[in-house]
Amino acid sequence: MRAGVAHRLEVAKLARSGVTRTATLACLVLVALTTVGGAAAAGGAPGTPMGQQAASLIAAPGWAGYVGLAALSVGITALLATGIVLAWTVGREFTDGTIVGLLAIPARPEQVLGAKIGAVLGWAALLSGADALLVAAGGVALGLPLAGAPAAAATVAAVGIALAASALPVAWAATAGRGYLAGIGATLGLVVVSNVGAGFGLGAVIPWAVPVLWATPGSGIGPAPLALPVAVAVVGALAARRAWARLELGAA
Amino acid sequence: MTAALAIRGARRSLRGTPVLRDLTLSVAPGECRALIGMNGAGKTTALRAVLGMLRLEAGSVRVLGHEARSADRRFWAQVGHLVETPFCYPELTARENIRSAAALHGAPAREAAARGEHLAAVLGLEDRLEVPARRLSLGGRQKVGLIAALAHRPRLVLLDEPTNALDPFAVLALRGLLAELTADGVAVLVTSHHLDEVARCASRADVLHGGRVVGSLPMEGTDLERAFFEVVLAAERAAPGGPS
Repeated sequence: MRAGVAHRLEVAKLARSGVTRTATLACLVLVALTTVGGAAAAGGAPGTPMGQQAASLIAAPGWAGYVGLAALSVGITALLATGIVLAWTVGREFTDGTIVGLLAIPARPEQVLGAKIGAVLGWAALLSGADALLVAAGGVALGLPLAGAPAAAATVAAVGIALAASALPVAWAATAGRGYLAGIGATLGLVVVSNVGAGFGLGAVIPWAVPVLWATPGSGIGPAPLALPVAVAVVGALAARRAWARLELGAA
Repeated sequence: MTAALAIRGARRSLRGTPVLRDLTLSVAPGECRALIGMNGAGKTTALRAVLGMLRLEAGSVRVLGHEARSADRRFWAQVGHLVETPFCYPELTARENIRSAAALHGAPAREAAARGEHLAAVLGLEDRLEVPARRLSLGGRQKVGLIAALAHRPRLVLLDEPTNALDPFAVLALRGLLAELTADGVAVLVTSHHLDEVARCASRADVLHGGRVVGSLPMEGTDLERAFFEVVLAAERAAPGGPS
C-alpha cells in the first residue's frame, strides 16, 4: 500500500516530465533514422556516406545483420536515455530539495527509491518494446520476411531492457553526489567506457557492451555473458538501496 | 501529559563542527512553540533530527511517543512537516501535489481531498488548484507546501519559516489555522528568525544558540527582541572564551 502510493507518485512525475518525453522522442527518432534509414541507405544508396557507413555495420545478410545494426542504435540510446532519466528521477529530489517531503512518512526511504527504480524501468521496458516494434516494422517494410520479425523484435527488446537495467548504478551515483548532475556524469562515463572498451576489443568483459555484441552476428558472444549487465543492475540497485536506507540530509 | 515531541540531550556534529549540543526541547499537545535563533543556530538541523533525516551521536528524539528512527514508521502518518522546501513538484498540479502528500501519509483519499480544499480556501489558493505548480508564484508554492503538511490531519506539525513568501492575507490566514490546530490538540513547532511573526503565533519561544536552547521566552507582555538578545548575550558571556 505505502510502496504503491510512492510508485503511483513516481509514475505521475515521470509521465509529466519534459526529460522523459524528450528522451522517449529522441530514442524513437534516432532508432528509426539509424536502423531503418541506415539499412535503407545501405541497400538503396550504397554509394552515399550514410549507405557506406551503415553497410559497414551490417555484419550479415537478412534479419541477423539488420538486428545487429538495430542493437547498436537501441543499445546506445537505451543506456543513455535510461541513465539520464534515472539520474533526473533520483537526483532532482536532492537538487530541488524535494527529498524532505519523501522522508518522515510511513514508507521507508528505500521503498521510495524502489518506486523510482520501478517507474524508470517500467518506462524503459515500454520504450524498448516500442523500439522493437519500430525496428521489426521497418525491417518488414524494407522487404525482410515477416516470419523473422517476432524473433528480431524480441532480440532488440532484450538488448534495450538489458542496457536500461545496467544503468542502475546511476541511481547510486545521483544519490552519492546529491543531485542529477552526478548521475548524468556517471551515465556519460558508462557510455564512454563501453564505446572505448568495445573499440579496443574488450567488449566481451564490459557489461554495457555485452548486450549489443550478443545481438551482433559474428561477435562470438553467447547468452552467458548477459549475466554481466544483470549483475551490474543488481549491484547498482543494492548500492542505491543501501545509500537511501542510510540517507542523511545536511551531513555530506 | 505525554509530550508530542521530546528531544533530550541531542548531539550532532557536521563536518567536525558541533551543530547540536545537548539540545533539549519538548512540545505538548495543543501547544504552538517556536524555536528562534540566528542564522546557523541549528534550527534546520534540529528539525532534520526530529524528522529522522539526521542521526544523533547522543541523546534521543521521541515523536508522538516513538523513537524518531524506529523501524516501525506508522507514526509518521500523524506528523506533518514543511522543512526548507515545500512538497511541490512543478510537473504536477497544486491539487495533485496536495493529494500525493496526503496519500504518502496514508490519509483516506476523500477525507484528505476535502481537508485540502478547505485549507486551500483558507489560504487563498482555491482557484489555483488545477494549475501546474511550475506556474505558481513562490508564495503559491509555499501555500501548496503548507497544505501538503496539513491535509492529512497530523497530530504534530513542524514548520520551518512557514510564512516565507506568503502575502499578508495568507500570513493572517496561517496564523488563524495554527490557532485552530492547537485548539484541536495538535502540537506545533515553528522555527523562525522573524521575532514579530513568532510573537503572533506561538505561546512560547525557545532561543536556540550554538546548537542548544539557552533560554525560553513567554510571548505575552515581553519585548521579544530585547529579551531575545539578552538571552543570546548571556549565553555568549557564559560560553568559554566568550565576552565578559
